[in-house]
Amino acid sequence: MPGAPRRIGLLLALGVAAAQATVMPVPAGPDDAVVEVLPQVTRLRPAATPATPDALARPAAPLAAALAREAIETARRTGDARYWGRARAALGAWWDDPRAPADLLVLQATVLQGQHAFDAAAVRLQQALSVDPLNAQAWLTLATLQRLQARYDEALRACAGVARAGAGFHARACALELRSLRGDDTARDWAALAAAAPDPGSLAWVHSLWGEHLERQGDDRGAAARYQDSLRAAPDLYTALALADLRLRGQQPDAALQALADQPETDAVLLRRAAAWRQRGDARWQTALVALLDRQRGLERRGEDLTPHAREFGLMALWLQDDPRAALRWAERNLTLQKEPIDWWIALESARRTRQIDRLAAWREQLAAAGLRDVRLRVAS
Amino acid sequence: MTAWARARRWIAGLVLGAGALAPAWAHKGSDAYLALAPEGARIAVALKDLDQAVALDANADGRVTWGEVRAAETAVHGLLARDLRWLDERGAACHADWRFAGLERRSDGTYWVAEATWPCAGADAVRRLDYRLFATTDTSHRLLLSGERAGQPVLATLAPGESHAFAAAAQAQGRLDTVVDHVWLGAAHLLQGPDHIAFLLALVLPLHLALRLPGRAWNAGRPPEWRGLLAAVTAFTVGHSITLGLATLGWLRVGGPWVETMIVVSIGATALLNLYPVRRLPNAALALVFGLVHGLGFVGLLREAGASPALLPWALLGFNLGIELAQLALVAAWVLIVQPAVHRPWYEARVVRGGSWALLGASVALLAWRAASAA
Repeated sequence: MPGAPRRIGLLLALGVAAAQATVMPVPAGPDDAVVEVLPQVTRLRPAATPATPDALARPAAPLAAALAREAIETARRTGDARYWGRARAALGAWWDDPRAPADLLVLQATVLQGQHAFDAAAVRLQQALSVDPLNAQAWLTLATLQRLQARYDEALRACAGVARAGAGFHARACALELRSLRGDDTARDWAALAAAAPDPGSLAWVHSLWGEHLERQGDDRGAAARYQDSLRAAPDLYTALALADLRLRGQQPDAALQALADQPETDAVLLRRAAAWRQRGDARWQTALVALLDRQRGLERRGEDLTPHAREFGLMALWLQDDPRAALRWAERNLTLQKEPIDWWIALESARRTRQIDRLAAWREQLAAAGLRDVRLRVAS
Repeated sequence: MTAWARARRWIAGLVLGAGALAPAWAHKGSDAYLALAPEGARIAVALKDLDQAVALDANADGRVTWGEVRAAETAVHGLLARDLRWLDERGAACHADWRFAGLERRSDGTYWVAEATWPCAGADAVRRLDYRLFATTDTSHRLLLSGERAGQPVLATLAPGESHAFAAAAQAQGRLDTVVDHVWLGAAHLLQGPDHIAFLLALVLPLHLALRLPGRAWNAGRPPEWRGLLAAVTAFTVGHSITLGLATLGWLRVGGPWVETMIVVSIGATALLNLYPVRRLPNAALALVFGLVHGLGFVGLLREAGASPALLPWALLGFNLGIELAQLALVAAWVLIVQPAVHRPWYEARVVRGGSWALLGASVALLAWRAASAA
């Protein structure tokens, strides 16, 4: 029966296709039916022309910078990683060229930061600052990189660079956040900073930082109010996720879902929704977990380094998979990359739940050495 | 320009320069999916990616409509013909005639689907694919290539500017290779799994397996139980083949720590029944039921081996054969090992009962340890 194996093969293929419920055909519709909303409108189409040497010639720097900025903004707003790749391609002619204009080096660093290549990003910023020591954005981004690796003293020096470059408001915000992370008394400084915010975007930023400060201090109610102020001033994905995490920690799944209501279904958002559904006893969390695991396999299939995703995988192992051993492995990888409060929390929590006393002690020592003060981490240990 | 003006310009350009650090593992980057089948190729490309190269959103309002999709058909298929270059064995490019096959939703948006029959003189003649889609606009774009060409499984990930070389003329050994590879995999898995071996031992332990060796008198006291051995081993095989098959084919979805726990329970329970037999519960029935559980324990490994869907039945066949062969080898070894002792008066007390107590103790200890580490 020579046809049998093929028929079995077909059945299998159908089974596999059915399992991938993430792919759904779109029924044909009338000409005015919208099938996709684009995150940004394309105004220039370099790919429309064949890749000849002409097309590879350097476009004018301001044009490349404008294209890159637009793509970076879209990547941040939507969480869609393809726009980091586009920003990088827009800067392609200057990529890896230390003699590129300082502005373009800073943009390269921003893309590398977005792709979580923090060390490479710091190198680009140093190159930019050697050309242009008064580049406020370069100092500010450098401070961010150092802050999220828990190098607070270096980051404070970078904030001083922001001040020297003349961006007083940003320098104040930069330093205030670091002082708060180290546990300095900053309670009276935040309102003054918010009052000095020059535009709604900056105000949203201050409120978001203020909320994080209050959360570290253990004032969840105040933190939630600041996050909400921030989202009212100018909505952004980062703050919505922070608010959702706070609600999840407080066992308020409905409020967590509400915080994410208008956000695009990025993997980080889906992870929080799944955790909230689980807290609420909503069976959808299991479907979401299957989808997340599917996306994880997709990343592996692309041949991507999974370390930049270790934070979310660690959270997934703790929140959805009840697998603290796996969380511990992700936490180890994650701490080689970043050391923000949530990264320490994943590490301490997974060490505690797997009863790895030595590991717990070692991480607590590192945490103390880094100088981070956060009441949530006291609870976790 | 003053330093402050310059700083303002920068910071206005990058909103929330220091604050916004969206988590990674946001969506993966841009992927296109190319599936190969005996009939030809099927590609899915995101509309938001295509829009970089073709004016899909013709009126630039940020929305793509069905009308715009229909109007862009020629341009999109021209792009696919240009940036997916198929080459034959002489390095000559062959034209692929892409046809629109609808739109589909994936986790990161709507995709354009196009199909083409095999270019060149059919699947056998295609030897290379050069991929250049979005080479100048998105460095993180990837083509995920899968399926089969000329009976051979294909699995690759290409960045723009990369090529995939297809294997030389189709060889009929695809299936046989798959079976042979999986025989080894199955055998190795059984031999490396102390839990499966312990269960098998518990199963054969009570059986009286005396060989009729030359120069030794037939022991009239108790006939050898070859039939019982055959029944038990066959029942175990039937059991694990059922669940392994169902789970591998995706018709049964189970897994998790409880499978391993049940396997440990199966060892203890079988050992206990050796010590305190229940008359109405034949060994073979027990082997069948616990075989179902052990089959689930084999699934993970077979899945990780990642056989292509078309070759999966052959992989399954090989894997099962491998488990059987290893099982037979183990049982044969056991029969030989016990020969010097099987006629001794203490055999029943020390080997059968002692061994069963040891297995029971080991499984209880293992269960306790698992419970403690899970808590």
